[in-house]
Amino acid sequence: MKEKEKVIVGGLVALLLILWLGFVVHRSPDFAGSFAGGVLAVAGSLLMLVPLIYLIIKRIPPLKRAVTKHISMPTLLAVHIYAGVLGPILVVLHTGHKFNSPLGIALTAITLMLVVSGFVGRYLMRSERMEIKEKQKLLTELTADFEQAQEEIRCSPTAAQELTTLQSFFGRLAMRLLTTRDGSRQTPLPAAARALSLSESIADVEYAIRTHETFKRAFGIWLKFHIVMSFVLYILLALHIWAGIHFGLRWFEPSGGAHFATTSQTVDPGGSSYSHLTSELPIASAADEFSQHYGRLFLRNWRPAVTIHGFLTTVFDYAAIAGEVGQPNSDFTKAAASLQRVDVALLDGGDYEKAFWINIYNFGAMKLAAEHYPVPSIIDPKISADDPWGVEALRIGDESYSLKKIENAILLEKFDDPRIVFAISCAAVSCPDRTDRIFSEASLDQQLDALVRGLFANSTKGLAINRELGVATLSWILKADQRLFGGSDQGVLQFVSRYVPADTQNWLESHLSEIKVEYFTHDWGLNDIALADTQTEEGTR
Amino acid sequence: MKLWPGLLMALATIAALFVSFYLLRSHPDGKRAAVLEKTAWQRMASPGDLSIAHRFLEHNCAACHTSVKGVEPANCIVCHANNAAVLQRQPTAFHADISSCSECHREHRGLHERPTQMDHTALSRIGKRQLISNPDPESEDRLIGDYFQNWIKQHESKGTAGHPDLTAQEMILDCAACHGNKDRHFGLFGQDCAQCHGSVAWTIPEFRHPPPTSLDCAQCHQAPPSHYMGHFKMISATVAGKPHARVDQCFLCHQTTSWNDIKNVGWYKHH
Repeated sequence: MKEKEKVIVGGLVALLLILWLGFVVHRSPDFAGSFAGGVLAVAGSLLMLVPLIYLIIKRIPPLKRAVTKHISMPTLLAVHIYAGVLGPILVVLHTGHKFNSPLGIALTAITLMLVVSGFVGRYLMRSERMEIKEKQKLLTELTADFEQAQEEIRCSPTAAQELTTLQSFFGRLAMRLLTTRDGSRQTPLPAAARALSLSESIADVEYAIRTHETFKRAFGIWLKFHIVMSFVLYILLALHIWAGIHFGLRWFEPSGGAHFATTSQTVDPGGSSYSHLTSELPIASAADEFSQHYGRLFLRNWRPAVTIHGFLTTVFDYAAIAGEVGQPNSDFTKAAASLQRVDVALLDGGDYEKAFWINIYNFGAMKLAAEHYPVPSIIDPKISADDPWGVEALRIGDESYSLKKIENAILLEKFDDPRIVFAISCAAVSCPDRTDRIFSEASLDQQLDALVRGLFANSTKGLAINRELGVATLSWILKADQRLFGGSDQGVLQFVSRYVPADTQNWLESHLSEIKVEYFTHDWGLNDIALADTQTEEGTR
Repeated sequence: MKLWPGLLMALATIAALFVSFYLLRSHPDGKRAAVLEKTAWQRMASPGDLSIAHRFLEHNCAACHTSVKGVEPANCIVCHANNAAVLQRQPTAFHADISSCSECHREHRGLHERPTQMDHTALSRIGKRQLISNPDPESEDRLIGDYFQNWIKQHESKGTAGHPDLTAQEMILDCAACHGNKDRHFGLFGQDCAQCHGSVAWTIPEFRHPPPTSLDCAQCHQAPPSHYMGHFKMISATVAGKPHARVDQCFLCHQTTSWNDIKNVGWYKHH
């Protein structure tokens, strides 16, 4: 296990020593300050703080006692070592091989020295310590033998006599030559000879131990060096971090993407003519407040034309609108809530009121779809089993309004304008295409004209003419509300001719009595982006 | 081992490091701050020499760096406001309201490095940021900005189709806004430069010049003014020994090594 650790750590130290040399072939002046570089820096610095824990625990005895109950010191040391090698590797990667500032250079150099000193201290000093331990064990055994021999000599005078003969160098040499190890096992040597030989061995071992102790002292200095270097490192690291913060970190430069997430909450009111005023002026009335919230909701969720069931149509993101239902601060909720405070008796009867009611109708239809979402269409039984136009769509003040009531009792009753039937959307694929703005008082006329023109320019649901056959295929809306257009096909065609290009207009007017009028099938499918045949806005056209 | 002496030794080491760096470090602006001055210590964190034009600021970190906030555009504008030469030219006029400097103008790269590195991705990022820079969410420019951002968002998902050398962020840039004057194709290839060009260099790595045997030179190359107004017949065609050559038959006289390398004549430069 220890051997394995030594190999792994040795490999990592070698990697570290190679890594910093990378500056010879590669230098990136920007990497250290980039976001990725910053992540490496923070991770590396945190890892480099981990070894400090070992130092603290080791040097505060009460803490050491408390901690070692749960984690053994060798485990802590292993953590110390791995963190102490991996941290510097990350930190050296963070430099991007840019060694320019004195602080940075010093920091890198100290880090490397610290790691190397730790490695040397840990693995060389440890083997030295093992050696000393073994030698000391040997020394005790030898001393015990020697004392036994001493005792024997003291007890027998002959043994003492022999001792004197061995005092000369040659005597001792002769004894060595005459006695073999084999013999010593069967017939023990004279005690005197044994004592002499033992004393020599003892001297040898003691010398060896002294040498090892010298080494140990040298490694003690290594340890001191390691600790002092670590202090230098932590102080320089603190200065480096301070310098980074003081002179300005580049990691978190605001990027466009970061702002993106917030824009969906701040999209503007729907182009109502008063929208730019509302920022300075208090909102004039609850009706204005409604327009503001509905306008935002509309703009945010309107999407350019896609194809649904083969019809080219502008769409809404109903899933997103449905997501706002019940959210206390959403534009949907606020729009509905502001209606509670609207007093319809105070509306002026002009374009302001007309735009307001058209918007109310459309909001009502959108609300029905959103509250029952997902629905395939507004005439789905989920909304109403028999009459979606008769159910309560919304409340204004204390009064309940259905779509039918808004259309027949208010819009068509108060305002003599057949274009209204195109402007009030039944949230269906076959209804006219919308721009991304709600209707507003200032440009209501132009908006309505553009809407009707847009419908008749759409040959999938508005107007398709086959001049050879003399057939004009028209929007179903014209058939459903034929009474508003003179009650006849000719009346309808006359209305249509006012909103088509000059060429088509001429043809229509000159063939008025001969044209065979047909109507498109009305597709009630919800104009929901989720139902698009193809997701791209170019659609099939 | 007692730790206090260790700490003292550490401080002594740092002091020694400081002194040696202080004495060894070059001072491009020619002066040296006193040992106890703040800048002498701050400069220890300096990541490289400033460019020649800025070297007088070597000992004045605070001239550019606001504490914690870093290099703020306002610090640059103090000196660089109303640079008519930059603001009047179409290619550089965008500086007027960019309000962001350090994205492309990076300093501390070395005395002889130009502190400018065009980064189109940064330009795109700045543009997007500016769209919504007005903090008032109801203000007119903010409304337009928000709307435009939504539009970008829808289009970003389409990736960089048809523009092989651009990043998705660069896709929202309009090349002609800055490079309109530079169009060597006289608008004949349209406004969408990035269909062929990348954002780093105008050269197109994939471009291979047609072989010297090609006869279609005039499809791309236009003759110089000196080839008109009688010069061509009087001098050029005569010198080249091709009296019946038309101006659009470049290949009759010229070679692909150089326009001045005339067939059978050698290097010839009349003007």
